[in-house]
Amino acid sequence: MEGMPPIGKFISPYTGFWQNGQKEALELDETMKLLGLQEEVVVKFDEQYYPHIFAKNDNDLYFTQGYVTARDRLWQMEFQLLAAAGRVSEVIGKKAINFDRGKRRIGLLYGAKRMLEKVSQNSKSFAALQAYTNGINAYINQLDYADYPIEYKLLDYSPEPWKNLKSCLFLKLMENDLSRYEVDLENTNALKLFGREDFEFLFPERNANLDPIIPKGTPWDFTPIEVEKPAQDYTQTFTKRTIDKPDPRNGSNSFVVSGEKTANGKVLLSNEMDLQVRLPSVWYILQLHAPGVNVFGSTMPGAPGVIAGFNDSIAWGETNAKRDIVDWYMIEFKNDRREEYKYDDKWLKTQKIVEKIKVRDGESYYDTLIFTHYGPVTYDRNYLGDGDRINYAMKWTAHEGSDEYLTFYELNRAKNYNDFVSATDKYDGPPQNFAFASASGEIAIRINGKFPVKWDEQGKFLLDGTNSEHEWQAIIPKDQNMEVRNPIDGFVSSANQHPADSTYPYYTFDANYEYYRNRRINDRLRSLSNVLPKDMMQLQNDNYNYRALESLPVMLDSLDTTNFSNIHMQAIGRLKSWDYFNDPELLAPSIYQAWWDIFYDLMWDEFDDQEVALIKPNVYNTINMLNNFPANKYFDRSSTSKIETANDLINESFSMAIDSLEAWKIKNGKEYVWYEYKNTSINHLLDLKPFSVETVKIGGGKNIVNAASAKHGPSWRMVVELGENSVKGWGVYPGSQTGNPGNPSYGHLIDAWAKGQYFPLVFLKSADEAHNSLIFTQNISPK
Amino acid sequence: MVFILRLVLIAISCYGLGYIMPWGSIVVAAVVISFFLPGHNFNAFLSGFLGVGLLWMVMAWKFDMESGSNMSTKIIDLFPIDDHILLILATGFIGAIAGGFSAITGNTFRQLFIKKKKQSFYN
Repeated sequence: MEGMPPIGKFISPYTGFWQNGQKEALELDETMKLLGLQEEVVVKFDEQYYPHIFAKNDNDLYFTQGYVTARDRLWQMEFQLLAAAGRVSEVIGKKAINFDRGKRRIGLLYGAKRMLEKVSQNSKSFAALQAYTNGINAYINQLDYADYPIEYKLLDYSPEPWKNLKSCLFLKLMENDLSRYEVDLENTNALKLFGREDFEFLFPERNANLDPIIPKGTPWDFTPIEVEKPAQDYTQTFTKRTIDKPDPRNGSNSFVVSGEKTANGKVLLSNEMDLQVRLPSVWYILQLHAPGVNVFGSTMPGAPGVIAGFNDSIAWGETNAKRDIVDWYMIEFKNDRREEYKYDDKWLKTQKIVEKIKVRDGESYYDTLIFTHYGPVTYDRNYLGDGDRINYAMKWTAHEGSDEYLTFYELNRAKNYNDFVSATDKYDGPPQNFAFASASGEIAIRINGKFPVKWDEQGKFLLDGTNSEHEWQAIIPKDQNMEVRNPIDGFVSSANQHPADSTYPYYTFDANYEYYRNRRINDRLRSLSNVLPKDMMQLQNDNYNYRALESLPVMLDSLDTTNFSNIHMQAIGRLKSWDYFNDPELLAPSIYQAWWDIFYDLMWDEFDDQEVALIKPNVYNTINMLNNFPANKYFDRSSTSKIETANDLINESFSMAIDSLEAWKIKNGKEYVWYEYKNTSINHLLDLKPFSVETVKIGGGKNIVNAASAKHGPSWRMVVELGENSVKGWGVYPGSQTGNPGNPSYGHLIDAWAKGQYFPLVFLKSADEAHNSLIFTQNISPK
Repeated sequence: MVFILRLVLIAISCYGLGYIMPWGSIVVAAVVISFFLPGHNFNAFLSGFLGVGLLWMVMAWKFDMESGSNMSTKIIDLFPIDDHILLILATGFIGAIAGGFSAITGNTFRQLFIKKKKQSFYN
């Protein structure tokens, strides 16, 4: 934080931070009037302070959703969009200019505008969006400085009116986090640097035991659209630095078990999203009830409707469907004025947009952005262009108009599988694996989104923007996207792994498919029978370290223990007796992790001193090389005269790991038990220490089903049991409904989350239903 | 007597204004009251200092009690203050400084005003 908030109004007991403290978690009036409502609305609160909204029409339903969400989370809602719109400099000053430029150059706002055009064409989703916006504004309009969330006071700025466009921008922010990860330019560099043979060895597209989402051997009964790979190879070029990437750990797990495998014959669905875990939380939990809809689940502050949840007929969830849908096109401008660019034998016109970045306490910064028909020219002479050498236009499905809010509107009301199909067919991005269960006993996963038809390796490397043959030729028809429905195994699951085996007729490359969580989940589900909800919860909290299973035995076998000290032998003893579970209070997971990290760094030293952007080979392939190619040339370190093999690196890294762990112990004054060592922290969005919860006692880790790593992990865990006339849900998340650090319930669910405990989700049939978990009712009437 | 009266009036008006006006209203209140209830400069300063300072301290303490100190205990970690009682004292002190200088301003303003009148008489 730069400087101090203005002292008088900040410290005044009447208006300042003193006003942000609350003794009770809910300090609301029993009745209230709001301008914009059409009829009476009842909001009931349960023990987790989840609101249950009962409205008499759609307008009032979404209006109230917007209102109550803003009441708990207004600052977060606005701040995350300042980031998405590239406007952080307005609040924190010139140090954020480069961050803002980066966000504007990937065209999130551009995509949001096109989305809003599309949403405006559908009366249902647009009406819901407008009502949601009105509800947020009804809250904002009644605020005085004294009522502002504490973060506005600390940073000294004010809320501004909400707009429909902001909710669209929010969805684009999700696109950014979930569908923008790609390494096309790094691949281009690596191919040029290491040659084709090595490149394919280091970065294979798929491996033998993938365990994809769609079970192997599933037939494809459609005629695919054919696209032709251009005959001419494209001359590639080096890129020194690439734009910031979203967190590659962003992902999710979901698994659904059919009645044949459960103890009571009802279906069970689980879903959990692994995202950055922050305070205020990314999720806001509520129930929405109005004529034609009664749905419970997780919502995202900024978006109307329930994103993942259940009603009395179906339950659904999502995991991220990874696939490379961002491609880069080299642009050739006609001249310095950059008004035209080459396309086959024509010159096409560019569009120039001057982006004005307002800077707090400073002069505005202007950045000229050039748009082509592909999308924004992100890399140019003003930004990472390596002088004037490279101009790359970004092609990304997120820039094209789509109406995801219609999907959620319909999913919230879906009664059966056909409704589910119809809703998810309208969905473009970020692509998701939609998990489904119905009260009538059906289970399914549909992989949905807008996927371009690509020739082999199209877009895996930089593409030629002057050549129309390099364009995406078509979009995969929605009915040719993948699906698995009621398989004989009795379960479906997805965990961001490969969607299918190589028989699927379309090219489905991604650089970041998961190799471990999916196999652990499927191994467990295959062996489980008579499944109970608690088995689903246990599997969501499973700490089994598949990576260690596949790498630690060979690492231990390679150690030469002749000269080892007691400390070394003790560590080896711990590793040998370890059962591969990353439980929070064990030492072995820390020893393994420290050892692996150093080994991995030594192993891929070839990638460190390069002048161009590169991504190191993934863990799966590294372990594969360790087990099967221990004498490969990449084990040799270029900085030494000796020719090293895997054996040398394993021994060297083990000693280094023990040293680093001993140093950790001295520095931190405690044992390196796993949860302390990996340090899963739920930080406030501004990283303010007193508003954060640090070093949460939770096990798991990266590539583990319980994917809690540093500042990242299961952001919402849900289990639903569905049968005829019966629906039960359980859930937990690392945070609280309130975003106010001065509320006693701030972050109150974190402990239960860390321990793997769940709270029953109170799904009410009507506003009159009595339930012993209900603690407060607010009646809201029109003004 | 005027001192006590001025002090109480400043405290009471600031108490009421605080609920309906921005924090700067304390300046206006202290200026206006000291203008109409003049005294020595130090005397005026002290009444504003104590009037607003005590009020803010009491109110900060009151709001802190009512909120179970749930905000103040976090705010102290953001600033170089160790204890939320100190934060209450600091709040009182900031209010006191603002109140004191506003009162002295009102008082001095009156003196200027009266002086001018005298000068015009002799001219």
